[in-house]
Amino acid sequence: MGTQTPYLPGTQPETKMALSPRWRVVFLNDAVSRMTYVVLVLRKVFGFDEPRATAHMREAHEKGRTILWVGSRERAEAYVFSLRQWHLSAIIELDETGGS
Amino acid sequence: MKRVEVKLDLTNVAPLLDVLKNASDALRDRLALPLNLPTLDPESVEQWKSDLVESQNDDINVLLKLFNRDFFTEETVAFDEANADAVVRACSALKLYLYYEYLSDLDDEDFESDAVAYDLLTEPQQKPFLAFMFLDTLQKVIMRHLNDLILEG
Repeated sequence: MGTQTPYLPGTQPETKMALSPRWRVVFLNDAVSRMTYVVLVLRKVFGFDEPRATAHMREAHEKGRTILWVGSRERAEAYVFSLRQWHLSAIIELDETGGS
Repeated sequence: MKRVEVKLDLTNVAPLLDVLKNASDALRDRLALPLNLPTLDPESVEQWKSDLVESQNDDINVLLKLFNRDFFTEETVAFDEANADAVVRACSALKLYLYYEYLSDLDDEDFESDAVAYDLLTEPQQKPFLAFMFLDTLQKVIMRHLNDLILEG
């Protein structure tokens, strides 16, 4: 005869979606890097088309920063490392908006 | 293979090579742009610094090799897919160093719009400024002619 697991109130297993935190790659403007250089590097590192890279460059120029990408921490770090190889200033920060 | 040759005036460029060499020496063990990543753990920060300094120095060596013995006879430097990425990055590293070491008190807007008045620079700023503008020009030439190579590389 088989055994049956009794139902115990309050112990029913819950299915929880353990969402990984999302991280932003933020490019910070500097006084040295030319606009054309920034556009080139953003196209090279992120594969952006020219209008998108230019829009990010302009936003950074006007506001001091622009969010380039949102996603996993590992990829965010890889992007920041690549930007640093091209001597652009970038940071990663936790994306608390929950959206992309 | 696409290749760009640039004829340079030796009398103008030669005095700047010492500035570039000194900047290169100063960057031997440090980054042109300090690493400020509070989200990284200290061990990773050290690893990143080490890897980035190595990459930076490799690039700067590629740039400095352009000004070898042949340059002093031919007065020409050449860029192609083998060196374009590295030279463009090296120019940025050296420009950052020169800016933060000598030129950071200049007005940002003047600097970005090429409106710096050379005559108003102090004597210690003059050669670094000329070296900065030389690197800036090299970068522009490479990006103008080899943009696609860099993007595809």
